[in-house]
Amino acid sequence: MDAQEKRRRLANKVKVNLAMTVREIFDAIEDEPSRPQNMAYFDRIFKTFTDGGKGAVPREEGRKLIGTYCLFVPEEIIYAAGGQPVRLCAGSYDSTEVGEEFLPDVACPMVKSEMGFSALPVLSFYQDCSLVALPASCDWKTKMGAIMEEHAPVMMMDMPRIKESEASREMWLSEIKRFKREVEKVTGVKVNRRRLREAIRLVQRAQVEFDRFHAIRKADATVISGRDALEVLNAYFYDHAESWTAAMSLLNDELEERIRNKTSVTKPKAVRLMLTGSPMVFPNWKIPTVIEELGGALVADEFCTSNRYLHDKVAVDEGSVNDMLHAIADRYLLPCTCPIFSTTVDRRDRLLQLVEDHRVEGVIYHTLKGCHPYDLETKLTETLLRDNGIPMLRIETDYSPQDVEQLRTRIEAFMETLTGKRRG
Amino acid sequence: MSYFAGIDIGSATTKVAVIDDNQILGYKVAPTGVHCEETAQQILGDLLKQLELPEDAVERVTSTGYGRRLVKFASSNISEISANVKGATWYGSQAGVTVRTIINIGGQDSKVIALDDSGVTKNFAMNDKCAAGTGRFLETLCRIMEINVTEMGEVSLESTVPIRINSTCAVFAESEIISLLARRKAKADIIAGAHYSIANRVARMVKRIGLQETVFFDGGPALNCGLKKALEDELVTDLYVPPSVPQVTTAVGAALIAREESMNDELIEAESA
Repeated sequence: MDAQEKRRRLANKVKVNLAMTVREIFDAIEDEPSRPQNMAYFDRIFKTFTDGGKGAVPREEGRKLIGTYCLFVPEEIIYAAGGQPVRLCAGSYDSTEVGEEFLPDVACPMVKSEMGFSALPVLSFYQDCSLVALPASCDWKTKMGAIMEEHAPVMMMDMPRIKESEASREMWLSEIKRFKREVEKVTGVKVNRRRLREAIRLVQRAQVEFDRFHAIRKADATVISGRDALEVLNAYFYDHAESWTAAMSLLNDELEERIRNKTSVTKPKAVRLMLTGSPMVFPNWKIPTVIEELGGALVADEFCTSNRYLHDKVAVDEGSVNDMLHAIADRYLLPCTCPIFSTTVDRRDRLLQLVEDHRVEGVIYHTLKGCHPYDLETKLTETLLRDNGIPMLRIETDYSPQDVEQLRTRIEAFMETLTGKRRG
Repeated sequence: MSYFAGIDIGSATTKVAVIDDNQILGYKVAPTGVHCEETAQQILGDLLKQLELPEDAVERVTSTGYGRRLVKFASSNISEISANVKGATWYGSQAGVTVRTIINIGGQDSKVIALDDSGVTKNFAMNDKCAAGTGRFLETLCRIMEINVTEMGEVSLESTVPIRINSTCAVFAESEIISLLARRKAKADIIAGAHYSIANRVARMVKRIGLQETVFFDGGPALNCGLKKALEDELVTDLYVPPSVPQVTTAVGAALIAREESMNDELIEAESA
């Protein structure tokens, strides 16, 4: 068998397995009794993964697809230049095997999965990108660029690690400006004042709906499952901001109605949990699924792929392109609580705020194997939460479905501790 | 013209093959039952009658399979690994295919055999501890779904997205499948899922042994085109299934060995004479 044929067959293997995984998830979801109707819009996006991701990302005639990683790449600039952003962070176990050909065993499953999708045509939006902006955030992402270059048009973006200094701010701004120039080259559209202002407003409208959603989850009644919350934000990776906003608006209306009717997806007095740590991208939903199968209420998360994604706003001061770029650069750097930065203060504050706002009783700290930044902050976070009277469960895992039952046992025991704590 | 027979006593079925000096004359498959030797005797007799050969036509019998030592009328017995290798490489040479790996899925076990460049066994892995990944699992499925074993393959090919079967044990998988049927999931998707489940287990054995092309696939379940497809998808290679009944490859191998041994004996006699 020649190399070309082998590649095609390997892609087919991943495709079949991914399709089975996706199907398994949505077959189980079908049986859920009180799911909001408006989740159907978001489900559709993920169901396309059974067929090469066709239709997940809107492909308007002539629009260039700009791939991004992490949450450092400004979508506002992509929209302003007439492009369509697609976030490529991956959560598939089935493509990690392919990624392992390129990366060391100890690499985190996320980069393995992304590498797998970049190297083989399984989900078309990986191969369709005209540019892939890859921030040198963690060690894996930093080196992944060179490995991925053969398969994708990578543009590395340098990142400061000590964001408090003025030098860092300037460095990041110059990277943003460089990114803007590259995107303009790809789309052939110049980012002028009007376009950039409109793009900022487009994303802000999405953020308004996110804010509503975030507030809804503070309610006593758990009107939407934690897994569904991950899903709707995950959908933003692929969808156009405009359509996503419209769909979120309908969902939020439905959820606010549920709050009025006190319709809950969990039993009353369900234990209120929060997830933090390495992100969980579709189809890696094993943990939120287990939590909710055990009757827990997953009321908040601090994931870069979910709750943090649309949290921070671009604060536009003046109307010139330069000033808007300043505002954008600041927004994507300064409030970010990613543990790749030396500081831990912002994350600490955010975690405590979430715990308070959502009346969280217990936190599950999730680290992917090989994810050093999150691993490094585990102890700090545990101490912080303990000092504030909040129990924390540490889970280290990867994308493999093999440890689901062990995780179930540990999460169940943790939840029983929390219930016991209430009585005590 | 001399005649030779190979008898493969499997845990589920017994296979008998009869060859002459030049070609395979015929074969027969029947359930092993409780008394292996009697069954073997019976099947051989029936086959000879079918071939219009006298009862004592066969010059030499070699037995193989788990019940091989119980066949007292066999002149020799040999491990099923060696017999399978003999049969597979013979079929391969007939078809101009260089066999380097053999996947055998039997009634109650499954094996992967790796051959070196001269067609000699260099490594093998076997799953004989449990029924998952064997013909028994497929039979159970058919019973629950009320379809014929021979239909499974075609039906499974209708599936667009197979349903993943999570249970690693054939007994628990049975409950899982009943529950899927109760939820009205398509039979095609369930059967395809079962095929991928078996393929996954076999792939793990292959990984331990190392895959080298061409891969020869035999044993009764090799007739299942859906299972073949699932294996080809998981192993990322084309499988060669012998055009005759793949279930009897090992019995044929045993018959070929019987013939070889007979020729060796003649040579030895000739030399000492």
